[in-house]
Amino acid sequence: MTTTPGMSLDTEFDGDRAQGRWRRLIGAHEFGVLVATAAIFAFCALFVNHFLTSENLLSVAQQIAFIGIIGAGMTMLMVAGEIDLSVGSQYGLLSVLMAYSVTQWQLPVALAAVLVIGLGALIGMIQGLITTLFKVPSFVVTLAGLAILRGAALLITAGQPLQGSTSPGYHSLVGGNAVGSLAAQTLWMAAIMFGLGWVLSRTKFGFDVYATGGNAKAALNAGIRTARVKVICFALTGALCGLAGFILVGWLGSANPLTGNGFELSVIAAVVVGGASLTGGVGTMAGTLLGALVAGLIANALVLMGVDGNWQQVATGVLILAAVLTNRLVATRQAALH
Amino acid sequence: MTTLLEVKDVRKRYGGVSALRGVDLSVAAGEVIGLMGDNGAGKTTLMKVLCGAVRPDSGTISMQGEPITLRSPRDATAHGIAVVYQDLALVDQRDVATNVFLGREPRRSFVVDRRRMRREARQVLDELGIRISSVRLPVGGLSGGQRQCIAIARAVHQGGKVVLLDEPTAALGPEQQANVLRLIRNLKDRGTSVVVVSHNVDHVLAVADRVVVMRAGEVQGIRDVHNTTATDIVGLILGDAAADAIASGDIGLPGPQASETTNAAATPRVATQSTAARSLL
Repeated sequence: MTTTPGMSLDTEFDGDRAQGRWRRLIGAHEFGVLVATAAIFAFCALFVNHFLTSENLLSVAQQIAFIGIIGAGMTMLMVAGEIDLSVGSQYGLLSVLMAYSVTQWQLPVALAAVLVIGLGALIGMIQGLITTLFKVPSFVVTLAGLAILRGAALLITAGQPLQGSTSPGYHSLVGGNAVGSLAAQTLWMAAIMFGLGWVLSRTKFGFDVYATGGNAKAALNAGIRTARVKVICFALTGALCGLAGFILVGWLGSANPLTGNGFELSVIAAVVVGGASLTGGVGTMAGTLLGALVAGLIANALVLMGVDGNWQQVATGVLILAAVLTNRLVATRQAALH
Repeated sequence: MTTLLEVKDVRKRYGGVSALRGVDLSVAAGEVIGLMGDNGAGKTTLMKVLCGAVRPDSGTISMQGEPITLRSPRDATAHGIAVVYQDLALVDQRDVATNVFLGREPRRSFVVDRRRMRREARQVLDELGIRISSVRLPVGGLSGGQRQCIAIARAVHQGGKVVLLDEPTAALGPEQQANVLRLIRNLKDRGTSVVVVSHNVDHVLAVADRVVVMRAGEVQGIRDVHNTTATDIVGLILGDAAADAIASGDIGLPGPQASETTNAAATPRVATQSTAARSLL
């Protein structure tokens, strides 16, 4: 009715244009973690010896690969308003099964990989179905999963580490160096995070994930099958635990039933530090990557400075608190900006 | 005006309680119907039947002369009946454009066409005269009135020929209420039919063409807004004896006459409505 004649369809109404890059950045949920990453990076570059070398930086990138891979699934799950505490145990169990199936069952590596990734998806799906069908909080369901799956990993191996595959092709696919010191794991992480980041931010499914976590009733009323969205996110997270197990076993050539013990906390920390909200509807893949990176940089710097390894735990805790407080601050400022 | 939505002899029982005892209702294209009645009169059940959330025991619903069956809210939406839920419609963290298209984002193969979403959302807002500075704003930061308007814009944009509004002005400030009422008039001007459930006689008289008053599961009366008064409507809502009481000025807290004709649970409402009516007289 009020469309001005002659106004081309492509022109955006002035107010709808993207705000200035800088202003948008300040309002973003990732602002806190971005500043933290930059600050820590600058500090380390100036004061920590041997930090600013490509070898060292690439090793940081390698160290955060597993957090990034599983964190990609956890990001989608947390945006959908759920959480999976069992990722560490899934990662451990599926690593053990990966090693078991190539050595004890003599399965080809590719088949074994499909098996553990599929099993991971199945475990995730079951936890997701219990959560959505019986309306039990995923915190509780996956807490049970954490115990059950870790127990299963220890039972299968009688508590002992297992030998894995010695296939050189498998090892170089997941454990070798792609170019120079750039580890294959880093590339796996980059591919997964980029791919799922695209899914989350650009596709219809990603929009459904945000709607589901933001306001499940509104999403349901709008015809979005929220239970299905959640179950898919659980299955995806499980599948990524399987992928992480596949990569780990190929890299190390063995599997330890205690793999991933406490790993869920590192993953959740990365996602939360990256700006995601535990109540759902907020979070991005870029944020999670930065969250993993900042934790990795801190750990690396502490090692290089020769600080007692236990300080790492303290630093991670402080980081989580600082990130959450910054996000709170950003949220209030964002409200004030408009 | 042609009849768009027609409800004939719709009945619904919940156990021993008759929520609807044969309700007839017709909504013309571009007509605004104010649906009023005390708590328990059957308004909500009727709305739920219309939006597919509740299946009636008997009776027919037809859209443009064609009988339709509403098994779910999805069916209702497909037939052009859109309901705007109070506070259950928006995702606060997402922006205005995303909320207007919630669940029906335009796509190019797999990718959501966000440019088109922003452009069309702006067009819809302009068409309906909804003032929002940017479609990129998260709706969580907007006022209650703006949020209500966005929810209504979505219902219209997603093809609603009849929009059902449940207490659209409740819990809003006066200015915001005026915005929502103006939006309802704009909808009417575009030829969209609206059914407004409200307890506020003033608001209903301000926007509706006809007022349908329900009492105890039946349509108590239908009035053209040009030939009625607030007192008349309130009388229909409460029943004859209470209306007499209002007319004779014997109002205030529920007196013996008022409580005779209305059930106990409804008495606090009687007082409010009577006071509202007196302020208009």
